[in-house]
Amino acid sequence: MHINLMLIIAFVAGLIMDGAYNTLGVHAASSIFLAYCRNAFLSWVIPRGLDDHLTPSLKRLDFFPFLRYATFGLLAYLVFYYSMVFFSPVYFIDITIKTLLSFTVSIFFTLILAGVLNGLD
Amino acid sequence: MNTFLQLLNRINHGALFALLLSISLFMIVRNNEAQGKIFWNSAGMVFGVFGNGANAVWSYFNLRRENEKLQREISVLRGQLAQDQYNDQLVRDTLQKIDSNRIQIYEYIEAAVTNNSVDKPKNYLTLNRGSRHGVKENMGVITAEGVLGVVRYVSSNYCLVMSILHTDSRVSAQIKGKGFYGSLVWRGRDPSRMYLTDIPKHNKISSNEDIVETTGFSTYYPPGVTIGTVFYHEIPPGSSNHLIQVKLKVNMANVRYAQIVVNKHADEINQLEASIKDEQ
Repeated sequence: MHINLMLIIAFVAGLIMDGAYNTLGVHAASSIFLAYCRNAFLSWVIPRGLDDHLTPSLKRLDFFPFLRYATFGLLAYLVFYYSMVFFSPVYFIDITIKTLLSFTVSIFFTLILAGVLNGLD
Repeated sequence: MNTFLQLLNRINHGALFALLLSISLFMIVRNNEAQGKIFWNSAGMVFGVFGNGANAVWSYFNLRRENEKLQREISVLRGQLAQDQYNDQLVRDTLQKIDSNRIQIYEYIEAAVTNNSVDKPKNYLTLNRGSRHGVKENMGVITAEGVLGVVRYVSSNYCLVMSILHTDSRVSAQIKGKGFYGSLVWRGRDPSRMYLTDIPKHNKISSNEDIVETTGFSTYYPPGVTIGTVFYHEIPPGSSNHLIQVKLKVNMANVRYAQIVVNKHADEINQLEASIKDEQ
């Protein structure tokens, strides 16, 4: 998938989330950040050299490469998201703690969701 | 849809990311209270720092003009200083008439010393009072601590006073309470010492105790103005008079204010005395 299309999809998806949480712009910013840096860590996480058009699902990747992919993506998203929530470097400790706490829960649900959605691929 | 994707392909993804991120950040700041406050406070700080820096640089370029402006202001303000102005106010700090039997003879015009010298053989003082204030020639000048001299030259605003530290100066002076008198002269050099001459040697004089004061025998000074004390006295061999060294009370080098003595009867006395001048 082309990165520009992905950026727009991420932006729209983020806006929808923001509409639900009433935090206009926070999720949108985080998701376009994730979409922009996804290619960078995708090529590093998945050593076999998948091209742009591949969707890195649990079914196509093995569990551990997918876990690595999900970990990087989730961390990128959460770091940026809480940075946007707290919006100031003085809250560095809060950002770190919230990111780590959210990560432990979110990676769990991400893996479950990936397993559920596995069949749709 | 394809044209849209083709168009999308031609956009730089970095630019698109920056654009979308900017839109998101704008929305965050605009629609979220906490983040908005943080942003505007930080922005204020950042722009404040930049603003101060810009001001500092700009004021540096303006220093020359500021300096010229300040110099102009200094010269204007300097002219308003009291010391640069001619104080035209007169205080005649004398009792006008105590009662009808007493008639005021001496009045005083206060003056500030504008120039002074003590290091020449013929010293003069300049005072900031002149004919406009009623100063005339041959008026005496005193201070609270002693006599200063006699007015010699008068302009409209200033007068020139022949100091007692002038080799031609003569002051009629007496030893207080003892009744004998002589004339006080200056022999140069030390501005704190003068000599009282013409006192016959049979009179008893004690150093450091006897006070020398004016006699009032001239039209210059009122009687009883303290001049100084007897510092040292001797009878030179072959002389019939004391040589009395007088230590002046007033520091002539440091005198700042003076009173010009206006003797209201001076003209009358001088005219009267001039009538017998031919006989002498």
